Amino acid sequence: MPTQPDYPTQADELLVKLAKKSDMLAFEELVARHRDKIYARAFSMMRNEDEALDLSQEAWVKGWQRLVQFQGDSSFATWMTRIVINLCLDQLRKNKRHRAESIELMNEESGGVERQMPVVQVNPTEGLERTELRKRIDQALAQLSHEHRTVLILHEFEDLEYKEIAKRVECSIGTVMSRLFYARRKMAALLAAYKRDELT
Amino acid sequence: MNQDTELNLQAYLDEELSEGEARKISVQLKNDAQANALIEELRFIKVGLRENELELKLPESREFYWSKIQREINRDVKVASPRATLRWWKPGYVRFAGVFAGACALLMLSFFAFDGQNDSRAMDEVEGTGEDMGSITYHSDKENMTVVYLFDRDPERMIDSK
Repeated sequence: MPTQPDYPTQADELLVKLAKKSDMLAFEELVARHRDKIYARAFSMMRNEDEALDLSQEAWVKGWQRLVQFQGDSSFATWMTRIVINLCLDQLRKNKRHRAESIELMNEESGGVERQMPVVQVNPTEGLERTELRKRIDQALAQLSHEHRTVLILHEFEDLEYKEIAKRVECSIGTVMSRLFYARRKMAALLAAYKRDELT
Repeated sequence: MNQDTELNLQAYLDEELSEGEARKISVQLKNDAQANALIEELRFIKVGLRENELELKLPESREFYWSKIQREINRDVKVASPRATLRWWKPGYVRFAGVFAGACALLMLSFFAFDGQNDSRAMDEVEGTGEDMGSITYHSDKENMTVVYLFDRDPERMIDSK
């Protein structure tokens, strides 16, 4: 009788190989290993715990179904992250269809308010404890529109180029550039405001 | 500063410009304090974000989270596999179907063969010759009954198939 591998000690590559042969225990180990990362990406895009949980689980099911397509060009975690991002983008598009386009949103799209903001001269992230800084960045990200936050996440966290973001978000490179610009400017303004609040 | 200049500065920061365009921006940055201030602001957000993504933990236990995924995978396998409804066609089952058909045929044969009590062709015992499963048919004129015994020729296979 063949001995069962010690799953927690195996590398992702071997677990993927076993999972491709329908080894559910190997796949469960992969889920356990990367579940926080996949959930965190879904949450950063959706800003909603329930949606993030559902979408991250859906991503794992899709991952299992498409495992045979994974050729190992990127790491397994990166491949899974791309799946969850695509699911989140689909969900955001669905949500947008149900959401009325407000004047505020249209202004944000064209960078109405941010264009007038003075440049933040002092780095508001300087001198902060890492935990505090992370908390503030997350707080500021939560205040952005989905459109701006998505572009920022794809560029800074997923390290995608403008062209690749445009393809995924289904818009022009020009739109990606302007969304990214105003998202960064708004982030700077929000972080500077937190810093001012702290000093007063 | 117009919008195109602002976006070009950002593209310079993100290394998305061609070599020629990037050179132009480098020259501009030497004499333009406003452009320098803007690119600096964009840079600290870019670097700050890249190095400080919040690490989140899944708000569910490993077992509970996995159980939902597993349920979906299993459900999907049942729905997506039309072969599931034809499982009895698997070779193992076909083998037994053949044996079963053979046994039925023997039973029928014995029924007709021993129908008449005075039939000279009547046999007391008939052994089946199926490849996987054997059968012995016993007929008694006195008791007016027919008994068919079925047995697997390879008992170990029965254990393996479980």
